[in-house]
This record gives sequence, C-alpha cells and structure tokens, in this order.
Amino acid sequence: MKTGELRVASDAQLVVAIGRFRHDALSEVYHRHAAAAFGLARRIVGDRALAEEVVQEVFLRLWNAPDRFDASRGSLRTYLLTQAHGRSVDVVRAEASRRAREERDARMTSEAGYDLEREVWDLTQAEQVRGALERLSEGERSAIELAYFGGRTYREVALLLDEPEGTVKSRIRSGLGRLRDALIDSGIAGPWRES
Amino acid sequence: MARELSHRELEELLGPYALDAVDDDERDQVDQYLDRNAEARALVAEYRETAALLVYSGTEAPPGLWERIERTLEEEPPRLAIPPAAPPVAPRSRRSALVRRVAVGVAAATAVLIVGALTVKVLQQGDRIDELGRQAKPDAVVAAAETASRDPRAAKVRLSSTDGAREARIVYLPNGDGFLVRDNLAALPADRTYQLWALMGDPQNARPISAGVLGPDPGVAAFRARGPVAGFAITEEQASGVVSPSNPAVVQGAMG
Repeated sequence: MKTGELRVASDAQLVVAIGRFRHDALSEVYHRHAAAAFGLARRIVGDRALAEEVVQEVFLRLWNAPDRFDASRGSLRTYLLTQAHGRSVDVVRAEASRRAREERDARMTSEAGYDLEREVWDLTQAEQVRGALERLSEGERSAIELAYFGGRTYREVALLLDEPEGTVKSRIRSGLGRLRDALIDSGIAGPWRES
Repeated sequence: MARELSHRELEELLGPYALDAVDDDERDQVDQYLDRNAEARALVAEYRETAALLVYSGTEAPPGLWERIERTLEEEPPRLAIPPAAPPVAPRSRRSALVRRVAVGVAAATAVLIVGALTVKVLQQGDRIDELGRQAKPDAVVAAAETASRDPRAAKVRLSSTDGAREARIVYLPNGDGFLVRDNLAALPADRTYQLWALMGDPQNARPISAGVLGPDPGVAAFRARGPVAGFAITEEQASGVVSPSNPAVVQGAMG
C-alpha cells in the first residue's frame, strides 16, 4: 500500500500495515484517533503529562501487538479508547492520585449536578448524543459519568452517591443499554463502523 | 482468594466491567467468563463502543507527542530463539520427510526474506515481516523444527480439511514456539496467501489470533503463539494478510 493510499485506507487495513512495520500506517492511525485518546485520558487522569504517557503507551502497544485488535469485536477507535481508558484508570487508582481525586470529589459534590454533556463536543455527533443522553435518568447519567470519566469502581460510585452497589451496577447497565438504543435510532451507532 | 461469582453476578458486572469500573478480583473473573461466553463478549463490546461515542473527538493531540512515539518504535523485531545450525547428521531421506522446501531467508525473530522458489519462514504472532531482513540460516530453522519434533513435551497437532484430503502438521512447544513442519496445501496464486491462526481460549469459543502469513506455498515455518492455545487453523487470504479471518479454515485442528 502506497503512503498516499493510507489516508483512504480503512482502520483494519492500517492495522495490517502496522503489522508490517509501516511507521506511516501507525502515523495515520495516530492522526485519526490520538486526539480522542488524549482527551479521554486527560479527562480521567487530570494531568497533561500523564495523559501523554497514556497515549504513548496505547500507540506503542498497538505497534508491538497489532494482532490484539480484533475487528470482529469493534472499531479501532473503540479499541484504542478502551486501552486509553483502562490505562488511565490504572493511573488514577494509584495512591498518589487518590488524594487529588478526593479533593476533586469534595469540590464536585458541592456542585449542583453532574454534567455529562460537557464531555460531548463532537460537532458532527453532538446533537444526536445529547438527545440520547436525555433519555437517561439522572441516576443513570451520574453513574456512567462517575465510573467512566471519573475512573471509579462501581463500589466507589455507590459510596459517592450514597446508593446501594446493586443499584449502581443496574444503572450503569441500563444506562448503557438506553444510550446504545438511542444512538442506533439516531444513526450514529450500529454494526461496527470503520473510519 | 475472592469468592467465586455466580452467573447472575457476572452478568450484572458486564456494564461496569466495560467501563473499567470493577475491582481486580472481579475483573479477573469476568475475563474468564468472557473467554467462554460469546454473547457476553458481544455485549461488552457494544457497551464499550457506546461509551467511546461519548468521548470528545475535537481536541488536538499534544504537539511533539507523535515524534516521541516514533522515536521509540523498534526498528527490528525481537529475536526468536533459534539454535545455531548443527552439522547435518540426519540422513537425507529423513530430512526430506520433514522438509518440503527450504530456501535462504531471514532468520531474525520475526523477519522473513523469500529468495527463490523455496521458503523458510520465521513468524511472530501477528506476522511482523521485515522485508529488509538479514542473512538466514535455513538449516537452523529446520534443525529447530526437528529438535522440537523430538521434544517429549511438544504437542503434535494435525490440521485437516473436513474431507481429510488436505492436511498440515504443527509441532508446538510449551514455551509458545511452534513450527509448521508439513503440509499438502495446493499452491495459491501470487496475490493470495495462506495465513496461520492460533485459536485462543475456550475450545468451544476459541478466538483466532494471527500467527503469521505463510505465503502462497508454505514450507517449514517457525512461529510463536503465547497463551491458552486450543488449536490452530489455516485460511486462505489476500496476499497482505488480514487482521481476522475472512474465510473458513482450509485446515484446522485442536490441541490434543
């Protein structure tokens, strides 16, 4: 595959090229998805330098083990964001971060509510995602926000919200299900979508 | 040791698991549950895709980060441990029983150089083929395959087609090193290739992971496949290889 062809190649084709030591293929994947990975990591770890390290790890992991991406399980974007999220959560749960997070929690609980919509800015999808979020109950939105963007376990979310653990687990599950259905209805989710 | 979770409890954890919102013990148990439950895997994949759609895509990656990543990329793959070529002691007839075709190739850990009509391949999971390679010692690969065949710990896996007409033989060691040592697969056109897959996890729901591209006419090939390997399969694919199988297995076999 010529370099010029990489720009129009599918994500799956790029991963195959990465498997053949094509730096330019990894560069193209970086161009497409690094911003989202960095934004997510930064939101969770709250530190720019740590977020950059997370992104670096994610892309090096893709370089060293491209076969770990299974196209039948989802898009490359989802795979990279899942990796970035997991690594960011590991960082957050380290002891040194916990103190900062406790201070942040204290500030958050004094605020009027949780603003999951603040995280959604993609100009091409914002309206559909906002519409999908409106279908969630406040409890579902809070549980997903605190777990996903806060890097917390469901037990920690339950403590923070003063809710039973079973309720939080259930809200996360039902919230994700409703989001999924709403996003399918709006046309921006469905069978695995490659870029 | 953590209490073993019930099926219902594991199902309840799939949503939090997809958001990385479970404890380490719970994550381990859900990992094992997903290995044996395709429906649960599909559900987790849907949850993760949904969550990913919430992520803001409009920021810019920090300047200079790509350059830092690029500087740390390896130029060459790590070496696959292959013993130096031993003086040929086996009778020619015995060696020809093991080797269909051998050629000078690249013997670096994941590097392959195809020269002439014969092929010796050294593959790593995911098929990292370095076309620039280095001088190979094909006898080293053959010798390693022969040594592995004699190892009492080695698993001998027979891959066959449904009608039994086509087959391949794999020797697989406990350390993850393996060798395709024989096959009667028909040669493919130059724009096609055979691709080897390690079938990972639960035999009932094994996940194929590429163990390498074998070329249109496989010979002896060394590969590495780490993890709970349940079996192997070979498919026919486009010449560049694929990330996941796009065709049914030409031959397939399970670990004994």
